[in-house]
Amino acid sequence: MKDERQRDGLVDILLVEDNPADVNMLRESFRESKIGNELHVVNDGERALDFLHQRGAFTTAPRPDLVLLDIGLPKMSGLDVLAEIKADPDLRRIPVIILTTSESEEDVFKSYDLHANSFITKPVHLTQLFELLKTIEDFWFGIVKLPSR
Amino acid sequence: MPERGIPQGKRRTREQDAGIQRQIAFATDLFYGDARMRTLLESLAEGIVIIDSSRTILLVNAAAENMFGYRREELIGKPHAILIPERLREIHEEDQTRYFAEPRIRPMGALLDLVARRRDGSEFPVEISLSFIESENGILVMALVSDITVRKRAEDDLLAANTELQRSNRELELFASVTSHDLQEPLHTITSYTELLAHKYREKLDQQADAYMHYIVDAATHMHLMINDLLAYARIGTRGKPFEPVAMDAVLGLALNNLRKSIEESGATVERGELPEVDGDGVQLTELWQNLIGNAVKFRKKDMPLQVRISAERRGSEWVFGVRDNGIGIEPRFFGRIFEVFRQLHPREEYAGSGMGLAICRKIVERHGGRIWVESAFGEGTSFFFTLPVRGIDHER
Repeated sequence: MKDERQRDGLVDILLVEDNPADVNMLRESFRESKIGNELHVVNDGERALDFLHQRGAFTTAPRPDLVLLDIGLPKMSGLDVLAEIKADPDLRRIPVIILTTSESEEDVFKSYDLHANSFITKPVHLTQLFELLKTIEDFWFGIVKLPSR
Repeated sequence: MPERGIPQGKRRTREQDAGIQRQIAFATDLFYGDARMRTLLESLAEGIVIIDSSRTILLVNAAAENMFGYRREELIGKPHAILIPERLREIHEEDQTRYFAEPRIRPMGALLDLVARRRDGSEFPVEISLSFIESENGILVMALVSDITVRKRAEDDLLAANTELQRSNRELELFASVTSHDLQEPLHTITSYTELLAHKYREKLDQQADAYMHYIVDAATHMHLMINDLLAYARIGTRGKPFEPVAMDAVLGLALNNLRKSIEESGATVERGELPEVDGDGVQLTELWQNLIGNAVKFRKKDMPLQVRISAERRGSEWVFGVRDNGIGIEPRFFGRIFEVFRQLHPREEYAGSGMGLAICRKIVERHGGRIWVESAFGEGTSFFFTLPVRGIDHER
């Protein structure tokens, strides 16, 4: 619920990304963001599902308000993770944004077929990335009404 | 009972011998009694073998002699099984029995691949059509035999080439998807971290460092563009859509719309002639127009307004489309090379791009069965032309 999110003033974002350089870059960028956020990072698909199901090493993990999901992940691809999230009645309401280097139309189709909430190709340039994260925050935590947790 | 299907079999009785001699004489008279018919049968490229219900060869023509490597006196009166490889005789025999029980005309191609045996024991693939004659001496079967060694080899080669093509297409697709994902990622990292470095340490580094970082980002960005365009080029063949009727007017409209911003900025005027409908891949034809018109915009003269003229003219069985501009032009010595992959005539600081645009154009045009070329007076403008087949005409590809 929005109230709950406002209580600690933080939104929880789960980033599923295996490339440490990208993780670091996004962390840096989110740090500059106006909206208070807690960025949780897991580096493969299985851990992402453990996090979401609050099991294994993640029993105390919060339920994220937003998932940023890469496609090219070790073990389990991002699309597999997406499929599982969207097939789960408990998890499917969490907005999932595919954030990937891929510009392939096939990945776009597959993602939306699996009910991704949006598909974003990682911008090449830093200023574009800053802008993108600001837009994500403005839209998902400013404009959009999210379901209660 | 005559021996069936066994060459050089047990001795026939005298009575049987006499019967066979009668059959041979009968068949010879029937087919070769008439001189014109004889000439005809002897001049055929196909081998003719006539047997009776005892599977004894009664008559062969010249082509059959050549094909099987026997003289005809070596064949006539012998069981026809000597023309069949031993390993297949049994199967063949069953087939023959069925045929004699219920004879009918079997055309070429209605049979499976058959193999015949030459005198020296070697084998060759044949196609056989059978017809029969009901005579007062019983049923005679006429086999028309074609040696299909050459065709078969061509078919096998074609099949092998096809399999290889499919394999290499699959490999290309795999390569392409690896390219789009895996090769882009390190480039991303190089670009974004160099920029982060510039962003965070702006005051601590000097001007020269800024220039170096600019070069790194510039090179990485260019490589990103090249990879994407190479991918697009590779996929023209593998990802193309099946051809359907495409209104060239409509796809030109799409292309102009995509280019609207740069056309407006350059103050260009585009003059459109009437364009026909062609068979093609609409997405690729849009890209074709877009690349050609985009080129005109890019290589315009700075000191005069750009004019682009688009036309189509029918020449015989093909349409010739033209994109003419009054831009900077191209030197004739480069006419051929501009369609090559990664070919650029100008330094990148002056004209950005991957050098793939015209290579992509050529590949699209060629996929559509056409040709593309350029005409230009250096300094006075450039005209690109490409052809596409006129719809509804059977074009030899």
